[in-house]
Amino acid sequence: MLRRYVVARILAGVVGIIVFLTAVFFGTRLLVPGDFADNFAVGGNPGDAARVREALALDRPVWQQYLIWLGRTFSLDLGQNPRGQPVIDQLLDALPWTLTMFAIGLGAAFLIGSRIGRWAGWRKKSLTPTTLGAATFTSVFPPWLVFLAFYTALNLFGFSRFNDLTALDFYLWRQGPPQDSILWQMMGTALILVGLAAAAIRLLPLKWKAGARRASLFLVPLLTMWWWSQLGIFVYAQDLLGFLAMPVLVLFMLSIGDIVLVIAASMDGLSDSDFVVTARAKGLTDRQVRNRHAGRVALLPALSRLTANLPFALGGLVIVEASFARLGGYRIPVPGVASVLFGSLRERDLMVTMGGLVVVGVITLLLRIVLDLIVVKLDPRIQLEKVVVRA
Amino acid sequence: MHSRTVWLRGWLRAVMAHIEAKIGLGILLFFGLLALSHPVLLETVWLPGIYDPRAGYDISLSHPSPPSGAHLLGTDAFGKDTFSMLLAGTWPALLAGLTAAVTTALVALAVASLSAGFRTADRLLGIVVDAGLYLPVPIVLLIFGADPRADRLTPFIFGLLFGALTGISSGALVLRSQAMPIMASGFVDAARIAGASTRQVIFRHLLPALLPIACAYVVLAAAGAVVTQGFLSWLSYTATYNDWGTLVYWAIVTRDFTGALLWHVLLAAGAALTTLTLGFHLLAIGLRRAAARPWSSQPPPLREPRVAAVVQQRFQPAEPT
Repeated sequence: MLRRYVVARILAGVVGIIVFLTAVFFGTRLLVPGDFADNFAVGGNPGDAARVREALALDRPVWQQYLIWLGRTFSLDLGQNPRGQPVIDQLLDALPWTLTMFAIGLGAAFLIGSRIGRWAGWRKKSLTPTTLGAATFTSVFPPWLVFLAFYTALNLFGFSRFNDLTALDFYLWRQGPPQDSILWQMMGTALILVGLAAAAIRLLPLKWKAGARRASLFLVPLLTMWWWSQLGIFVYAQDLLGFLAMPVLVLFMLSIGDIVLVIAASMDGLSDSDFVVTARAKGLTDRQVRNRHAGRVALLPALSRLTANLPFALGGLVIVEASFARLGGYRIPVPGVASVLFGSLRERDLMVTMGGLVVVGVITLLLRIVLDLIVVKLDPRIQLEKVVVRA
Repeated sequence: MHSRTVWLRGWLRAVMAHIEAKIGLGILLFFGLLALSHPVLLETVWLPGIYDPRAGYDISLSHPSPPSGAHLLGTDAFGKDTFSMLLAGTWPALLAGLTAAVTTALVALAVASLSAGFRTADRLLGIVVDAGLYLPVPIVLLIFGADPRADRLTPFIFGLLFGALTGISSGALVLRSQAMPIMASGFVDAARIAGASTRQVIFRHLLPALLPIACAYVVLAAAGAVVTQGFLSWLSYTATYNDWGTLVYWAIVTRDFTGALLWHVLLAAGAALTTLTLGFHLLAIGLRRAAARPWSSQPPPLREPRVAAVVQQRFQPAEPT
């Protein structure tokens, strides 16, 4: 049943993606005036522009251009940028940076935020300092926060310039491996170890599970680092993580408030429901009722909220990346998908802009499928037969 | 008051019972007053030559100057009064937020009620909403604003675009999922049995029941719109000249040629943006809490006494003969 659900989900996703791609194509046509050949309008002669248009098929009717573009996109060919580099390569180089920041920042925010929210929503109080603080955190203006974080860090650590605080070690990378491959390796090893730990904990007898879960919080990072040192990428990983520390911290701060609020809200609604009363009547302690009974149920609305908000979360990440790039804090801006998008907007390079949107859409699709599967796994009330028929 | 608006009064009372809603509404009203006070101040107290947010200059001081009696929040590197610029930036932010809220509400409610009422529309709109969820709204607006030749993104157009995109994607998703249980509930069945058409069910039963949760979501969208608009003006991608985002930008940038950071400008503009967004967020929390436990203080008013009577009449148990 699960396999059928996944297939149905992916099929529905593909239909959605095609509609999305159509919107992207015609939307960018409408939103961004002119085309790539307009770059030659100044200084070149009209023949040049016409020749470029012909070479890029920009002189054909729009529906032909659309079909060509759609076909190429599905064969993973997103065109070339003005320097003759395939767009897909440019975006794939940028992708691990964005994914690493997203995974660490949002993962940490979810882990910590759900615990805080669980605690804050349990007592039915009108307005606690925690909720007020969480609301404030979600309201902070990102560029402002980035600047303040920089300024504080600068004064704390005694650096004189922004660049000293956050720059990759030039001498380390001069002859080193490409950064994106290191990032892929880092993420891959961490994922494998987390998966192994989860599988191992499943096999353990019940009485050891809680302890093992707690121990894995420390063991998994240690083991990951040990693996990195075995692969010989530890120094590089260290440098990259230091480089990404500030953006990740800001992303964490910007997204934790929302998670706290959602979890607190659903805890608030649960605290007088029947199963909580039953758990209390069994004689469980307040903490047990909160964490084991109400807390688990409260995760579900937070997860579905996350699904609905994924594009906003990715957009927020873009905002954070852009803030860092614009503040000049980085000698090179964080080379994520946002930087690629911004560069393409400056150069009026439609292929890269559309490619960036496609990549963001595909990431959203994959994350949504994963989140949907988690919800199906967590919520026994969802009956897959009915879901499959609907999807 | 007419019986049809009873639920509205009850709902308002339930919302205002929450302190978050009170504080949030207070913050919004405060900023509304600030926005109104600016033209009045320029007409009466402030000399336009000194306090004009675009071209004012005070020759009696060297600029930038720290907060003083004449300039409550000091002046920036160009000699303009910070407080006046702050007040001038209030209206664009409020307008963007409010337009976004109204547009989100209209679009999302339309999608939700159409797909609740008509099965074919549900199929089609489901695909549209699903596709909309892949669209990163801030990035789309960035692309729209990035063209340097056109000053296109006025606060009103920004709000319209933000609201339309949010409403068709996550707003519609949330409200659609809320509309489904309402359509399956007992009172809708009762209305149908009593002979209500789909239109009547949507307008008299679905929308009133959907309104509390829609308000909470819509106010949240307004908060997002304020932040995104501030970010776009910070990048100078909007058409507004006097804006909190622009103020933050200039406060940071002028550090390079004045040597010192203009803390009074930076803190004032950033705090204004954060506080307005916080106001929207708090109001949304209050609205959501009221929607989660509607009319907790009193039993819900009976909306359609006629329906109950008709249902009772038609479904009298057959008398034993």
